[in-house]
Amino acid sequence: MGFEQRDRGDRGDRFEIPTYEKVKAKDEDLDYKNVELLKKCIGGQGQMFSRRRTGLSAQRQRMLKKALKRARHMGLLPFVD
Amino acid sequence: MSRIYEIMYLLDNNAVRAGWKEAKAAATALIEKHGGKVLAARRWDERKLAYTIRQRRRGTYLLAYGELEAAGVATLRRELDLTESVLRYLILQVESVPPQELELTRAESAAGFVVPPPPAEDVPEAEEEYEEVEDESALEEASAPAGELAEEEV
Repeated sequence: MGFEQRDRGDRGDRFEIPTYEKVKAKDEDLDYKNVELLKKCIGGQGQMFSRRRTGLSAQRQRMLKKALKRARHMGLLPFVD
Repeated sequence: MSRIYEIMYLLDNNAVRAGWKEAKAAATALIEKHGGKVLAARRWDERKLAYTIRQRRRGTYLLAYGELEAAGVATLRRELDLTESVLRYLILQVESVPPQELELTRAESAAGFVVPPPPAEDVPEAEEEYEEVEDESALEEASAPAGELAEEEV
């Protein structure tokens, strides 16, 4: 994890936002059975990563949400670790 | 109008140990009982669960595809809720059965295909607690001499 400098436009001041390595899931099937991929999209306590961290489109992030919740129900992934 | 559904079962390993064929037959028979047709069924995986479900730490997943009426799905859900050997289930509507699933089903039902029995490390909760108590007393013994030594040094 690093930091990226961002400009606040006409106010002139700069601020830092953290940058993360994106989960490379562009062409992969976002399915509850794809546990290895879903594992990359959850944090140490089992929480789902935001779009900023997964790098997915809004539509595919929703698919990820569904897949993750299904995997949790089946005992494949933790609700809280 | 009947539709194709993907049905994932999480089966109790105790039921699977009695025989995979029997456990699978019991699960797929439920689909047929509710007016469905089994298109594919295979062992998906045997793995450690992310959290304990009914004191089980491991479970076997059965992935089945079947054609069912909507009314049949409702009654199937009701029966699965009451079936002891099914820990969890997930029924999803799908467009079609993936071709590789049909192949894997054929491979599993072919003669000579051995389904590995589930490992026996499904420890009940009570035994685990007992072991932990033992560990703690061992830890105390180990830490006591260390404390004495520290005092001597001072």
